[in-house]
Amino acid sequence: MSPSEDETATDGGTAESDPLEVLRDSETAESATFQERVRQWVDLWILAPGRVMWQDYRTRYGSAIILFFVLLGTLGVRTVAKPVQNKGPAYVQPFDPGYVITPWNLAPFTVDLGVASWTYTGIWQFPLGTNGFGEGLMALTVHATPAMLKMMIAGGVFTTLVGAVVGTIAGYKRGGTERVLMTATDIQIAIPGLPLLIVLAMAIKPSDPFVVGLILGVDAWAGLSRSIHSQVLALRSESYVEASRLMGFGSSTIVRDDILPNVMPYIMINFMGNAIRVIHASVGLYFLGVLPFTTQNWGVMINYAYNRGAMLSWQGLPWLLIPIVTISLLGFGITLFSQGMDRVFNPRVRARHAESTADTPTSIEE
Amino acid sequence: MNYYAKRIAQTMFTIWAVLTITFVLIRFMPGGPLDYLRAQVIAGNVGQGTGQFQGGSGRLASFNRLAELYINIDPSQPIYIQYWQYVSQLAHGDLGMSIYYTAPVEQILLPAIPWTVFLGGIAVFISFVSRVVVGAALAYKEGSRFDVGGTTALIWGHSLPFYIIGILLLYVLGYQWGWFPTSGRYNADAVAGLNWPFISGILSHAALPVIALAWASFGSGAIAMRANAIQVLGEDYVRTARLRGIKSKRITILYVARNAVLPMYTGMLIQIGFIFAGSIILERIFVYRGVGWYMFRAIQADDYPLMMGAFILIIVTVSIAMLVADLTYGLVDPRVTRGESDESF
Repeated sequence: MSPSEDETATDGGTAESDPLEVLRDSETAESATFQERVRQWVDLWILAPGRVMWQDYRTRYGSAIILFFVLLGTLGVRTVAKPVQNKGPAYVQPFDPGYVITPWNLAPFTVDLGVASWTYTGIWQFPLGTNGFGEGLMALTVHATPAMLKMMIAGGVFTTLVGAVVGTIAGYKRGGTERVLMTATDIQIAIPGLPLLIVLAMAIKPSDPFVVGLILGVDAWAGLSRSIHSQVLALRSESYVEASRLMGFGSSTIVRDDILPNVMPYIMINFMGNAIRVIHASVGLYFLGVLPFTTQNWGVMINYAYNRGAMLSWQGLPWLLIPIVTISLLGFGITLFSQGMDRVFNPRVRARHAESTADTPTSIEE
Repeated sequence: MNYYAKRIAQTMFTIWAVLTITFVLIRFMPGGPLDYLRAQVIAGNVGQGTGQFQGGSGRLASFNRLAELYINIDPSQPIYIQYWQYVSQLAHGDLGMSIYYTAPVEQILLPAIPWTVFLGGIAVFISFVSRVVVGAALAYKEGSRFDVGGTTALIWGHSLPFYIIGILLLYVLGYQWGWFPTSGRYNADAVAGLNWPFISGILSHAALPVIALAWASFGSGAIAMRANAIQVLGEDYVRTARLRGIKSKRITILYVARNAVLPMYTGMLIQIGFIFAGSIILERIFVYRGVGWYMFRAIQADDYPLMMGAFILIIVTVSIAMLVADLTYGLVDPRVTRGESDESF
């Protein structure tokens, strides 16, 4: 029922255009120039979150740890040679000066600082020691990283996407769609994750890290879906969503512009939680030997350490402990990062750190 | 609809859905149980020698009969009859036949259930008590160095999965220091019965798995308890109670503890599911012959009937446990009103 051009408005004047149309256009026809808008956008979405992140020690350490693992998975794989069996004797302890390599045939030299002197004889061949097969533990750990990162991304994205989409649709659409989707969610929640993953992994026997990640994500989407559902249910009756509906925006526009920005922080934090789940699940399944040992994994290291004698002597401690420390460090880093991100996503905290938002009338959001 | 009826119907539906999923996995997965069983029959590993294999002309018929015996599916029947037979046999408690042990699956798994429940029950209790105590202590000292340090340690602990803790405990306390046995369920030398050597054997064998299992939910649980307790401590009724001059011990127990612990009840019951699920890795580490250990053996031996049987058993147990949890929650927390529990705002 849009008013036609020649129809008179109730106040006697002529309706030159649909007043709602003006309102809709106002968002695109901002008075600010393009440059100003770009500057504002950068300030609001990159600089301000960056400042909040840097201020919070949790995000600072968390992102440093995550960056370290990303470097390990990209550059580290190129610099550290692949693990080879019997490269050295079994059970070399970490930082053993007896096994060194001399890159570029650099001759030994001595740095004398007066109080202390240090002699260079070469760099460690096995910085973290070796396992019972004479493989370098550092090489094993480093070469397991890329596959793990791929699994985390695949599993995290898949779980988060399915959970968010199912939860949002169920919450916004209501009715029969909601009943079907939420029943599926309830069933998934009631099925304990690990046995399901084992049965699926046994049936599919995946070897590609991305596929492994997808399978490990199968059990985790339901929790997110349920909480997003309840958040969307609360949001859909908010006055501004009601207003958008009255103005005749389509469902997809309302979900995109009014609902998703509100649940996005929760979704992001959930993504990181799911990444940790994927790490733990993959290590567990590799430890059990359910997944084929086609790629290196910290779980494979623990499996061999457990089964092939590392448990029997103190010598085996590095073999057992290094993958464990690696797993806990990555998990700790992600947890710290996501806890700090909580503040970044808080619009009030972010606004305090933004320069352009406080007194610019042109910015509509925030 | 009545809340109870609705909840029971939902549980039935869940179990039915899981049975259907397992049927589809067993029947249609390429390289799955049916193909595996066929390969085993052709290789002569299954059937022959036990007198079940006819050989020669009756090969297909004999394979079908074996499939019916082992996985409750007779491939010669139309698919809907296969499905009906599968579900009805499971409903009668027939979980099929283990290839590895050549014994009915239910005969293998039923004696193992009490051991898993025993481990899980103690672990849930210990974890619950320690969570409440530590979480409340942190909440009372909120903002202090003890609180910050404790919370960081809990986050760190939470970033380690429980089976890693189990392996480390086994390595240090079991293998290196020899304080606890490294495998088994009880002391094989002791005479079974109510005597101290036997009972102490059971307890010492259970100690490490229980600590590992209790660890699993301790970190996040203690953090949740801390948050609950801080919230309750800020409530008006606590301040009023203080103003009325009620003794602080009485406030701690009657006002704060009761209200902060109630939300943890559901968490405790969700753990039941977790314990059965986690028992696979845990019992593998400690070579503890419960349900999870048999599922692990089934995985190792490609024994699909035993694996699916353990899977179904775990899921049915968990579904029923959660049903009981939901139905009794109203008795524990009278603030919950029936019929509105699935309304989310």
